[in-house]
Amino acid sequence: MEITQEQVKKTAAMAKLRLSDEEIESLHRLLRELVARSAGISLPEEEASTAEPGEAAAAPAPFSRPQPGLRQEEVVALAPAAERGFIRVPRVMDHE
Amino acid sequence: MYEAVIGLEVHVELLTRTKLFCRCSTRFGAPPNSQVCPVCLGLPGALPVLNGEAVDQALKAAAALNCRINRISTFARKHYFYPDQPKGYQITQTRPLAEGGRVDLGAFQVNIARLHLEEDAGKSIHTPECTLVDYNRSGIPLIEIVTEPCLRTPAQAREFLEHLRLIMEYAGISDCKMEEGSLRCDANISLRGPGGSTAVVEIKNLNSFRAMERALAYEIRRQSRLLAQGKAVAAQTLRWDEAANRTVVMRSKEEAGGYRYLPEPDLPPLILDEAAIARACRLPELPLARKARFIGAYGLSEADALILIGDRMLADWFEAAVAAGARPRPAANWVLGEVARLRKETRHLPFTPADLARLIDMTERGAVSVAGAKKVLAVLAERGGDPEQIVHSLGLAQVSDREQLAEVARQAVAENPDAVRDYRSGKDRALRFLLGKAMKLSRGRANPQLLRELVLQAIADAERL
Amino acid sequence: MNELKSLSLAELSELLAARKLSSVELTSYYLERSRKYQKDINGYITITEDLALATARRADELRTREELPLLAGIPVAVKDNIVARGAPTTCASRVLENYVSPFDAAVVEKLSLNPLLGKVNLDEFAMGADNKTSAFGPVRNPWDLQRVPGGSSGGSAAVVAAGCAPFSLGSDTGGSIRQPAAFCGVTGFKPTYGRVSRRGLVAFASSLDQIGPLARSIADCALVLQAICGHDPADATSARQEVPDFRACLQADVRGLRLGLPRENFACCDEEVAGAVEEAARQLELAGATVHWVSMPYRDEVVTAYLLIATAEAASNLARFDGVKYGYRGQGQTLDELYTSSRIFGATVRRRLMLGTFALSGEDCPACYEQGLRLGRAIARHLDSLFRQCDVLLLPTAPTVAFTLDGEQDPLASYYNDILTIPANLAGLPAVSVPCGLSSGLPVGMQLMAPRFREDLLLRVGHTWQCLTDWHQRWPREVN
Repeated sequence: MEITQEQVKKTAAMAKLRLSDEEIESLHRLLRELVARSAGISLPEEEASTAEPGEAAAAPAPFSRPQPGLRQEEVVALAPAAERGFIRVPRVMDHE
Repeated sequence: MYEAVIGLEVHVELLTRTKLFCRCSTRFGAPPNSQVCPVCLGLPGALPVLNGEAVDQALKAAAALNCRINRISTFARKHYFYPDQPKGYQITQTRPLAEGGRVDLGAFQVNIARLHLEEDAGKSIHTPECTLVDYNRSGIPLIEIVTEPCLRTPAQAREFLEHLRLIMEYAGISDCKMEEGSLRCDANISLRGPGGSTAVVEIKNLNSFRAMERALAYEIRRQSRLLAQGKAVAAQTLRWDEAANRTVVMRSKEEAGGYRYLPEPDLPPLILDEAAIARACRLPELPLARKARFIGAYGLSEADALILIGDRMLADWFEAAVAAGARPRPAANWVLGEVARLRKETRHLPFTPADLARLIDMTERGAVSVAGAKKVLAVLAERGGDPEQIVHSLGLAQVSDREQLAEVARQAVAENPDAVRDYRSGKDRALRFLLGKAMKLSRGRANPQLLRELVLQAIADAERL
Repeated sequence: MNELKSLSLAELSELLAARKLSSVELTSYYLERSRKYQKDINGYITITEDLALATARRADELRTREELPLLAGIPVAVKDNIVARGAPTTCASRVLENYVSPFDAAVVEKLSLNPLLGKVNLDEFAMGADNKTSAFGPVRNPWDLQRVPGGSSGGSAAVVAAGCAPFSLGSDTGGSIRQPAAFCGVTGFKPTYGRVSRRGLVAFASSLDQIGPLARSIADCALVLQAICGHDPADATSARQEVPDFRACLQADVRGLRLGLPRENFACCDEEVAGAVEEAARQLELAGATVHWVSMPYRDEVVTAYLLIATAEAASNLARFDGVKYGYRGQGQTLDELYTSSRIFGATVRRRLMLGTFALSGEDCPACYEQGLRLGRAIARHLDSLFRQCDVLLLPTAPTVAFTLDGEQDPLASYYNDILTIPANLAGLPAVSVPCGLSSGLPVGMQLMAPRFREDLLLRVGHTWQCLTDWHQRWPREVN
C-alpha cells in the first residue's frame, strides 16, 4: 500500500493541523515506514472467541434527578469569546 | 418511468430527566449554557457515564418498532469538527442497540434497519456577524432510527413519519415536537428506472412533515428532469430551503473525509440481560391497537377512529367522555368537532369530559338543542361552570311542552295566512318560513322535531276551520 | 529539619498524628525545597503555595478535633495533566496555558487533605519519554542536570528524587510513571487499569492511561495506593474489584514465589542495566523466590500496537482542543482558520495526532487502529500464558539509564525505548519500577509486573527487595 503526500495533507486537514512542508515530508516518510512495518507483522491467529472474560458489566443505573453542573458565568469565563451567555465563534457559512 | 426509492433517518429526542452521559437537566428553553457540566461541555478530564433511563427509553422504542434487540451493543466516537460538537466527536453506537424492525401501516410496510442511541450536539445560532453556540442540548439522548429504502412516495414517507411520531408519543418515549427539534428527519432518495438506479442523495433539514413531503417531491421532479436530459444525478448532501422551496447543495459526499470511527474507550459495551429486555417490551397500548379498539368496542367509523388516535389528547378525551356515560358515536362527533375547535381557539380546555357527557345526555333527552349545546360548550370553554346551570342562565332550556308549543304553532299559522296558502299550493319553502316564525315566537327554545309536528298539525287544523 | 525528606510516609504520618509536626511545618519545608531547586530542575509548572498552606492549615485544624486518615496533612505534587480546582492545568501545552479546571479529579478529591505543592511538569499532553516536549521547558534529572528525567511523568519523578515532595502522582500510558521513576531512582507504581479512577486525568490514550504514585519506596506507594484506589461510579472503566489492605500485603515475603525473567527483555538492554537487574533477581532467589527464564518474543508488535492505539486515541481525545470553548484561541476569519490557528501543539504532539488521524481514517490499511487492537490482544494473551509459568515478571524498566538532554533520536526508533514498559499498558497489568543499582552514577530501575489486580504480588516482591537493599534511599549528590 503506497502512501502519497496528498494523503498526508488530507490527514492534516482532517486533524485541523497546520504543518510545514518539512513536517509533511517527514510525516510522509514516517507513515510509509509505519505502514510497511505494520504490514510486515504476521499476526498469530485469534481464537474464535477472543472476548475477554472480564467482569460482568452491571446494567447502567438510571440517573435520578438532575444535578447542577456549571453556572453560565463559569462557562462564559472559560470561553475565549462569548456574547449574551453564548459561546461566540466566527460565522459559520454552511451548516452541517 | 422512474420509481422513487426513499429511506429515512429519524432522530428522536428521548424523554429523560437527565442527559445521556451526565446528570444535567434536559429541560427545553433554559438560558444558554445554563444546563451544562464538564462532561457535556467536553472539558479536559471529563468522562461519560451511561444513563440507564435513556437505555430503557430506547429499548421501549425498539420494542414498539418490533426490532430485534442486541444483547450486546457498543459505543463509538464519530469524529467531526464543528463548534456545537464540544468534544470533536459524537458518541454514537456502531453495533446498534436494535436491528430489523417493522412497522405495518396496512397499505404498506416499513422495515427498520437499525435503531441506536447517540448524543445530541449543541445548538448554533447564525447571525450576520458570528455564530453563537449554546450547549444546553449537548448530550441530550437521541435515538436514530434508520429505515430500509422501502418507501416509494413522499406521501408514504410522511405517513410513516407521522405514525412514528404517534408511536413515540403513545409509548412516552418522546414528545416529538418538530418545532423544538425533538423529532428530526433526514431522507435518502434515489430513482430507479429501467436503466438502473441513480446515486443516492441525502436531504437534511426536513424540520416539518410538510417540508419532508415537499422536499422529496421536489427531488423526484429534479432528478427525473436530469435523467430525461440524459444527465447524471450527483451523490450529494442537500438541504431543504423552505423559503426558496427547493433543495440546495450542502457538500459533496466525496469531500466529507470520513468520520474516523473509534470504539469508545471510555464506555464498556452495553450488555442487557433478559429481564431488562422483557421490561422494555411491556408497552402501553400503541396507536394501531387503539384504533382497532375504537372501531371494535365503540363502533366508530374507520375515518373517525383514525383521526382520533392521531391526536392523543383528543383520543383520551373521547374515552373519558365515554367512561362518564356518553354514547360513543355522538361523543366522537362532539370531540372531533366542537372540542377540537375550542381547543384550537383557546389552547386549553377548562371543562371536563364529564361535562361533555352530561351535555350530550341533555341533547339526547331533548332538554337542549344541538345549537344550544354548542353555545353552552363555548361558555364552558371560556369560563367553565356547570352545564345545566349555563343552559338555564342562558335560557337555552328547550321547550318540549306540547301545550305550550301547540299554542305557538297556532299563532304562527294564524299570523301568516299567505304562507299557509303557499304551502298548500306545494311550496315547501313556505313550511320552513312558518317553522322559522314559530321558533322565533318560542324565542328559539322549541324542540324542533316537536315544533315541526305541531305546525303541520296547526296547518291541518286551520284548513278544517 | 533537613532529615524530614528521608522519612517514610508512615513516619511522617506518625509525627503528624502525635502532633510533633504540623502539616503547615511539613508543607512549608517542602515548598521551600521546591522553590530552591525549581531553577535547576524545573520540576514544576506551577507551585501552588497558597493552596498548599490553606490545605495544611485545614488539616492541622481538623486534627485538633478528630482522627484523620493516614496520609492526611502530607503534601503531594500532582502531574499537570490531572485537574485540580484553583490551580492551572496546562498539560505542558500552550493550548491550555491559562486553563483552570472548574472541577477536581477523583484522585484530587481523595487527597483533599493533602496540601497540593504544585502541578508538576510533563511532556506535552504526556506524549514523550524525556520531558523535552514540555512547552514550559524540560525537566532536568536531579542525578545529573545535563540528563533527562524520563517521561512523561518527568516532573513527578524529579521532585520526589530531589526531595521536593514526599510523593507525587503521575500517569502511565506506555511507561510514563515507571521509566522516569527508573531514571530518577524512585519507586513508580502503575496500578491495574481500572484500579484508580481516570476522572479528571486529561486523557491521552483512554484505554491505556492509568494514574499511579511515585514515591521513595514500595511501602510509601502502598499507602498512596490505599488512598487513591477504588471504584468510581463516575468512571465507567473503573473496576468494581475490591481494594485489598495494601499495607498488609507488605508483610509477606517472597518465599515460594516464581519470578519470570523474559530473556529478550534483558538482551535488548545496556549490559550494566541488564546486569543490575539480573543481580537483583539472584538476591531475590536467595530470599526464597524461584527464578525462571521465560520468552517475550514480541518487539515490533509491541511498538506498533502502542503506536496505533495510543496515537489513534490521542487524535480523538485531543480533538476537543479546538479554541472554541476554552483554552487558547488563534486568529481566524473562518472556522477552519480558527481551528488550525488554535491547535498550536508542539512538534511531537502534532506528529502523534497525524499518525492517529491516519490510523483512524483507513480501515483497510495495515496501519489502522483495529490492527493495533489485534496486536495488543495477542500480546496480552502471551502475557497471560507467561503468568501460568510464573507469578511475577521481573525485567529492566528501561534499556538504558537516563540519556543526555541534547541527544536527538529518530521518532520511530525512540519508541523502541519504551518496549519494556508498553506491554503492561496493552494488557492493563499492574507494574512497578524500583531502584536496583547505579550505572555510571545513574539509577537503574527494575520492573515487576503481575496479573491484573495482583498489586499485592508487586508489593510483596518490591518490599522484600527494599528491605534487603538501600538503593531506594540514596540521594543525588546535588540535592542532598
